[in-house]
Amino acid sequence: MSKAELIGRLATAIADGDEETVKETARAVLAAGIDPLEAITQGAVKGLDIIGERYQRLEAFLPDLIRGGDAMKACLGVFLPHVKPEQMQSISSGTVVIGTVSGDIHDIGKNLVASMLSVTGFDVCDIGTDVPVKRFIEKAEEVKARVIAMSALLTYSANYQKQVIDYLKDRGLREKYYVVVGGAPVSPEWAADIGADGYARTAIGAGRLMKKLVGGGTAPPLPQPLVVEQ
Amino acid sequence: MTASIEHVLDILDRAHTGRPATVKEWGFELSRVIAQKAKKYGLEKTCGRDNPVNWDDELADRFYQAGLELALEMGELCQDTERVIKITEEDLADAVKDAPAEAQLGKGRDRVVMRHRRPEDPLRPLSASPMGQMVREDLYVALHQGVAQHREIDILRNATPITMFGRQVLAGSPYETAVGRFQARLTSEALWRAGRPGMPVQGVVSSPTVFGQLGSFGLSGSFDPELHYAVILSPGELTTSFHVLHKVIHASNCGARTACGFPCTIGGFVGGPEGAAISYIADVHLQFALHQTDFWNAFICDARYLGNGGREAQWAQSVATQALTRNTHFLGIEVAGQLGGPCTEMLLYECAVSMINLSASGTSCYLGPRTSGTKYANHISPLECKFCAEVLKGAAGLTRRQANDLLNALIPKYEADLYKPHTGKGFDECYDLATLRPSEEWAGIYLKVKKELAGMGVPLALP
Repeated sequence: MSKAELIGRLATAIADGDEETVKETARAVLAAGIDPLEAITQGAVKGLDIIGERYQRLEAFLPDLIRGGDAMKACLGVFLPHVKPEQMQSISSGTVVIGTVSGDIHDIGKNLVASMLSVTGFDVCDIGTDVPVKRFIEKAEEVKARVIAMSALLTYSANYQKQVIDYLKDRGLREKYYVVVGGAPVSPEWAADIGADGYARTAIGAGRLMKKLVGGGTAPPLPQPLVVEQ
Repeated sequence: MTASIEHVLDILDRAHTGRPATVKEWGFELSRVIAQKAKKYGLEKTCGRDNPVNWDDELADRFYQAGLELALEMGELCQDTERVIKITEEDLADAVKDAPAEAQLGKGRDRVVMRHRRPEDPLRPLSASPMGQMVREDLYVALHQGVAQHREIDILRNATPITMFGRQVLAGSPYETAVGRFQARLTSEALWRAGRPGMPVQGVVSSPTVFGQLGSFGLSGSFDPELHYAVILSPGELTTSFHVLHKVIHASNCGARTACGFPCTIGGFVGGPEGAAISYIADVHLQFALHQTDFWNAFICDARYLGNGGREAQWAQSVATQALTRNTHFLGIEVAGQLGGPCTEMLLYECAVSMINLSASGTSCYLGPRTSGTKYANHISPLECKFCAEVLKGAAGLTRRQANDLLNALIPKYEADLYKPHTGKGFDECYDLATLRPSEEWAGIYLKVKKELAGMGVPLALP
């Protein structure tokens, strides 16, 4: 199989969430002496883009996003030991700790965003729903996250997004993390009011937001939140 | 009808003894079983973007059978125990048989009767407004007074006060226990001012956990189970939780009726519009069979833009509602997810589309609007609530083909803006708060769109 065929096969297998084919193809890529970074950026990432496009056309749904994210993890599991240390930053966008805030047990929006972040190249640590304020911070410290992402469906649970940011400030940790917020009652104005670094209206927008945020070169906290409406 | 405590305890027992499944496993299983049902009943790719209102009875009935089977095969996941609550055919048959076909709500001059309707039914549905939007504490009474002063609106469904005596409210904390009663007192004041003290109220909106309901429903001087009914929302598709079951038991203890709701999201585990419709039908049955609700209370949302004004969501809503209204005598309180805000044409066109669709598809009651996607504080005003009620009732008796033609004419007016909606103005920006009248600008937009709809054949009274 030619280099182009192998990379194309990798993209297709990622898009289809076919973990076994992904691992097999990744090993064939290495055996053929192809640069793993090139296979990731030209093949695997292309596969993730395909899933995003299918989602927008209602040809892929949450289960497909999750499978695609898992396939990407399997792909990186094969490639990463062979990637040079100086290339690592161009592959991983960093770790995001994501959860639905305290008093709120809704998880559909959070799941969609978590899956979309996985297929956008983030290492996602999903800590579930009804997450107490301190748990966000403890987990972020534990996994050395770059981003804390909080979802809320209800007005009175969204207030905990502010509580998390205030707690980060009070503990002197605000400069360590980008904090992004989303959910039904959450608006760009709310994000600005509570001192968040970013807001996205949709799951696809959340992927774009995170990429802009961590790739933007400005350390947290940002003076005004980055806003992605689409 | 109040839930039988013995029944709820039986459900609780099942929640502790059913087969285990994690939330993620449940989602994947749901996705797989929905796909099987869609295939079995020939429902794959039946969504017609060019026909946002279904008029095929046989198709609606096949969706109904698929949804019924999904409910039986899956049951409901209890999020807290991560166990599956199965239901039997007998549970389901009893739920269908025992559910009320009509309900009297409110008292005195404000008393209304909600009745089961069928597709194309000339019986006028009820209208409930506003809906859960965040509203400044100092605007709260004026907003609800403004809504209640329109007699086209039958039921008051509260907005959410952003603060309580200037304090931020935190879900699950003692603030929540206090805010339910706070909301009930403000609502009572608004209804008194509007001269509609007997108007039924759907409460408690500000109860993300059980505490808001515990602190307000059935207490003296608060929400009255004789007059009002409790809203209880499940956290996910075919999923319940201890908070939900707490609320069901508490409502039963108070002798209150309930409206049980659930999310149904195109793009989520349920898949596309066909899967969402199947899941919606199943979830409605589970609300009656497990939570013994009086009314179902839900809508189908499209995760891509977080509303339901688009063609796929409208179609899914139409076929799911028709399946239920043709095959059961359930009472549905259905919602629509508008993204435009007050003082915009976009909002009124979105409202018109959903009202025409729901009315022609047989809904018993509309609840909303969810202006600006409930995202912007104070972005709700009485005028769009009145507009919804007028169009909903005016559209009663339209055929589904007529409704489809109307939607095809109206959806293009805003569909390109679903991803960047016109958020409009706040209540205090588009209303005179002293007289509770809309600004000239907002009244002009309202009249323009209303005339346009009347010209298109929607029976509406014009000034």
